Amino acid sequence: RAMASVVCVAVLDRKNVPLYIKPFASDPGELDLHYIIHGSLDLVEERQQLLRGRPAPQADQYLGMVHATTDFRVYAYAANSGEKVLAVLRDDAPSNVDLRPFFQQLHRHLVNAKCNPFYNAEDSALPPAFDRGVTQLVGALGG
Amino acid sequence: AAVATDARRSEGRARHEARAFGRANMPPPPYQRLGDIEFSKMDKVSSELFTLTYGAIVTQLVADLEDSGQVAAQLDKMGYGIGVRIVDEFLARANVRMCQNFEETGEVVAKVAFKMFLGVAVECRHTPPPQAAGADGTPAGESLGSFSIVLHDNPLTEFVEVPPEHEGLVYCSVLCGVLRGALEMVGMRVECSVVADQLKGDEATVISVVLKEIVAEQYHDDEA
Repeated sequence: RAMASVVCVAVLDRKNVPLYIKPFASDPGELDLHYIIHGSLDLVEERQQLLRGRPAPQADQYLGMVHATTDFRVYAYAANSGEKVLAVLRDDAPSNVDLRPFFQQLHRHLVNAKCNPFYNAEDSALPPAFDRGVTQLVGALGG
Repeated sequence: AAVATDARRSEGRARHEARAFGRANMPPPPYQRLGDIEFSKMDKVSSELFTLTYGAIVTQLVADLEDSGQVAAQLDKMGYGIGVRIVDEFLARANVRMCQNFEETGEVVAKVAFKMFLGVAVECRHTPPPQAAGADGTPAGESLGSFSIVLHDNPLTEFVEVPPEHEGLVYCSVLCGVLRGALEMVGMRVECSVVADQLKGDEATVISVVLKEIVAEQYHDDEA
């Protein structure tokens, strides 16, 4: 497999302010990525609404694939603290891919990053350790 | 002559231990095992709470003082206050014999004290003492020594990343203060400094402890 499946990972806070958007491939361009992610947010909320009614709601919600275009698929995960993580995959990735462990580990990295006493959501970006963790996870996944 | 004194000393040591441990001819306990035993007896607190508390202190100092050097000095002062009190707790709980030399002090600090209070196993690296007379008039042959405490795991710095604008900050300064305060209470004046820092990319955090002076106990006459 020449191309990595994961094209982009984005983390947004509960108010949909992006905390982290990292492209892992040169196409699509950054602007297109932002469009895809932004456009998916409504669908993420829709999916969250759907799951809210169900019995035994999971604290952390793996929302699965929320959006599909001709070239890309967007998977989402809503953490119980309100953050949302979106992963944009290429359409040629295997269709039965389960991103649940990926998202859970990413959430762990996020929690660790927020424990950094110097991290302040308003002023600073997520610390580099988070970026390293995500890159490592994507590497393990994308091939 | 040197051999004879050693033999006398080790005899005295053995007798002391027999009294202390109630068994004859028992060798000195390995300090690591003693440290583990004492650690298991201590009440525990969440390590994350501890890490976050210390982080809050440091970030508040950084916000108040802005200068990394001043922050480190304050942390050291705080550590000193902790050290002078914690040494009594240490001596009360841990069943350690009097250290015969500074090298042993290093071992006890690393294997028993650090383990007891921070829950981590740390290494003690000894540096050979200087042979010549000290500059402050200590007689030649009475070696003032030094050792280094090497931490691979540090509960103070878990999840911490110092941002580039504060890159001069010595985050673990409090530990220097603790060591300085504690050792001063048992008659040793030392200088401590962080010589390697995991937060700056080094493999381990290393604190150098240099013995400057042994302070004899002073007895004050209470009567006027």
